[in-house]
Amino acid sequence: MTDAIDLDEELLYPEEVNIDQAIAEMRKRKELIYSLLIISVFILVSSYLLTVVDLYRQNYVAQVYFTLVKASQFILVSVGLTLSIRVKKFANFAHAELLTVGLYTVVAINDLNLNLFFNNLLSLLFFAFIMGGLIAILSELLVFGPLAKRKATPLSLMVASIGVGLIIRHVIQQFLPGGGVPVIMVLPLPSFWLSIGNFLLTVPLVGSFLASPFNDITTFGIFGSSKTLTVSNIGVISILSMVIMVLTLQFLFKKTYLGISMRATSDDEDLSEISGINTQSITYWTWFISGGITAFGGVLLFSSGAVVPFAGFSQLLIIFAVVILGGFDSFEGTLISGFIIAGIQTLTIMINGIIANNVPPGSPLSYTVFWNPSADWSNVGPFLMIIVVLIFRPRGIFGLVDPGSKL
Amino acid sequence: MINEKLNQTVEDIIAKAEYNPKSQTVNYTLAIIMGGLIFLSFVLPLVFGGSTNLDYFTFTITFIAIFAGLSLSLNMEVGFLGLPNFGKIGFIAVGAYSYILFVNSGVNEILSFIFAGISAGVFGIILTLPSLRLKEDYFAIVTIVVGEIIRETVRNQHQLGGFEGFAVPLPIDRLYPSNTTFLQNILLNNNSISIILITLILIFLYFIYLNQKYSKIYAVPYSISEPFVTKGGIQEEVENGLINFTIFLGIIVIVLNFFGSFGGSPNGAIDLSILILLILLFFQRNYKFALLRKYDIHWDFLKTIIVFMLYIIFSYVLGFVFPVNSLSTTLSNWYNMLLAVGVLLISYKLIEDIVKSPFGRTMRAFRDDDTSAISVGKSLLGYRIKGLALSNMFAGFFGVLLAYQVGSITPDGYTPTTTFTLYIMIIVGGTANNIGAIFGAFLIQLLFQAASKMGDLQNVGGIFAGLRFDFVNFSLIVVGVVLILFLIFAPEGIFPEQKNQNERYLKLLKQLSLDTEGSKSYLVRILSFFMSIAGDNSFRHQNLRGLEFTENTDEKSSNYEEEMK
Repeated sequence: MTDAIDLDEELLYPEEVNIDQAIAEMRKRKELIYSLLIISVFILVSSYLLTVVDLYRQNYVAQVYFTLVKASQFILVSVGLTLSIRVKKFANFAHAELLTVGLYTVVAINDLNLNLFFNNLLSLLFFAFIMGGLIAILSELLVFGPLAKRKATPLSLMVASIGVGLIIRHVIQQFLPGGGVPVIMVLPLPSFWLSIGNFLLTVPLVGSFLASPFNDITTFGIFGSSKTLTVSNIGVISILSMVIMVLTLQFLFKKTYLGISMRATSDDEDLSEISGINTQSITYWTWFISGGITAFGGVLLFSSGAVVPFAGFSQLLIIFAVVILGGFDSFEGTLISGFIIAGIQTLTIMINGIIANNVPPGSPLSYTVFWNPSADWSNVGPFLMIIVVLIFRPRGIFGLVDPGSKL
Repeated sequence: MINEKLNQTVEDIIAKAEYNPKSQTVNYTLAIIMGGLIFLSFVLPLVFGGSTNLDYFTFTITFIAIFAGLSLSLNMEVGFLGLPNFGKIGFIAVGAYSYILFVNSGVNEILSFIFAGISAGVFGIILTLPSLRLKEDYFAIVTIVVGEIIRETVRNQHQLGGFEGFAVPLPIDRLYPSNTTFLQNILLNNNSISIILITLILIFLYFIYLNQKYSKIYAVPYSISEPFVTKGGIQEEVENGLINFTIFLGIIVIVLNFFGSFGGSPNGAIDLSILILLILLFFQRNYKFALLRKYDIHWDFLKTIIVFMLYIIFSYVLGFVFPVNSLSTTLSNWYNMLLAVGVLLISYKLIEDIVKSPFGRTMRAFRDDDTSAISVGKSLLGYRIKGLALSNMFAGFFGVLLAYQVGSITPDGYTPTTTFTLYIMIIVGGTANNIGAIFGAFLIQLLFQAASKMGDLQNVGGIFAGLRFDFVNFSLIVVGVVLILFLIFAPEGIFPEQKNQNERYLKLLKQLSLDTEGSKSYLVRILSFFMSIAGDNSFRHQNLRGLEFTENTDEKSSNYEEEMK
């Protein structure tokens, strides 16, 4: 009789991950990383060659640079979601609002007319980080924590996160300066920043390269072509801060007590609680870090152009595209998929532009879907990517557990 | 050991089926507080807004009806089918766009209306494919993305209207210039009344025929009334079927009138009266609201006619007594309201019947535990295809109605925010409960309409003029807070899911757990005491899965225990 029961339980709860499978998966990961490296080198070389050849009058090197900037901003914005999914195990739709929180922290500090000590790029990014983290903790404290205590399903947590997003967005619209109308966000550079830039420019050979994060605009010539590559400081700062963030998180997860207990909590909450980890505070730390990085990345992502309360919400699905392609809760996956999604976005815009410029308006091609000159397909590429990935490889690039239905 | 386990599960099942007054009070307190506040906010513009504006009512009722229909359709997917479709707005857009494309290519409006529903349904079938491979939250993301892709595609395609979209003309405006007033319309001729009277008479004759044929044969399944709610014997079934048929056809006549299919001039007042009558009848029939309870069918029919005539007289008087200006609302608004409420009633009826039918039961079985439903031999793919196609068909219909109400179809009218609003409606009202979905839509649309009205009054003047406060925005904050409060304190909503209490099965379960020893539940002990006092032996004659319970219950149940051991 007991045998029958055991059999039943085995049928109901099959073993999720086999160790052999996991090892094979790791091996595959290594192969994937190498192939991605080769592909990226190929893309760099071919973009340079195509620019030199002047195919369709496009600056491919500049496109690669834009992709890099976009990718690092996407990674900054979506790593937080990966973190929170790992620990809380649900898709947080309010994540995009943390980005808006960062933007409006900057707007509010701009509005206060403080002296330049508070109102400069570095301290603004710092305040955005703190504010995003605090709002994330608040959402856990008021909504997700009580819901998890009541054993809510992932679906109801998801709907609750929609409610949280709604509240944050519209509270910002109601009470913060600017409100519904678009505001220009100012990121003034500190004075020593510019002097460092001027000093670095004097360094021979690599001077302009080193000074690019400090000067507003740096222009590089492309060898063998009349085109130039124009680099803005915000772009370089985003790439640099992405790299620093990745290294810091790597250090955090591998070496520090906080990171290790975070990983333990995400793997098995009960077990880590038994072994003496304060899972409650670990959860709050996770929210703080994830919210902080998101708000920080949001400021960089929207550094040019006007800011509206719907700014974060408009990026929600792109963030989800990055996270899903990466494997939903995989840190390395998010890193790689950020580049892939940014690349797809650039490609869709570029191909559309090339076709719109080179196909005569009367031809039958100009009536088909993608050949509309005024079209903006930048979101459709990544969105299609989500669907393709979820249907053909639901675990993403690096996800271990197949998130398929019970069948 | 097996016995203990069995006992435990039996007690669990009984406890689940029992009425839980504590959680219910929480729900109702929340509902009353929220409903009261919302109603106050609804009345505010009327009190301070200066002139009473009939458009405020018609618009609110129309929006409530449309969003109630949409949330019904979403509820069917989320509540009964268990598929969290976050791309509902995509299907609404598919319905609206296919309608306007059909109309622009010269198809008749009513045919386009039907095609709109069908194309949204077909689109739902396409969406079934990812649902077979993905878990809930992943499916949610796929659907939200599908909705966004539809929007972006439409926005970038000038063949599909592009950024500006299309204007949606009301079919009724073709028959009448839009400045025709209510009174003028009443004075025009009335074709719809004759059509409805003829329909009623035909149905009456049909009923007499059926009654003669079937009234004496009990226990014979009666095919015509099967799709309708059935309670009681064959007589009541026939009655229900008849009245529901009348309601259906009456509404269909109104709908046809809206599209000008009879070529004649429709009459607003009469259609309004008929609609009120139909709503009354609908609730009276299905919920036994009204004074008429158990009655002779012929007398009932006579009463129907009397009420009907009274309403016609009332509506004529209404038209004559009020001057033209006081009823400033235009004819098309009236018609839009009538159409929306009519389609809502029909869809409510159909969805309620679908849910209560064996098909609906299987849907719920898949929602609760798909593995066991498959093991019984049900096709997961088939049920999901049918369920998604049906629910999205309704979404397509209401998408067209929404386009009528808004007056235009633009890609930016179809953002995911609407889907989220629908989710809030069904969570507040109660998932897996159709009345709950309608009630949630009612509350939240009331709030939204009141807020937008107050926002309008800020520009016009009066008490709100000096106020620099964004009411529409504030209503969204309120809705967000309400959603979270409900999710934390009353996750089942105002109207929780109605547990299908199979009395026979419950009794059998009680019997099983009473006879086995080691039952610790006080509930079961008390129940056993009362049941023994009452001498309830009814379960002893039932057969269930081959177990025969005879008068000698103790012996049989002990046999059963031995078998299990």
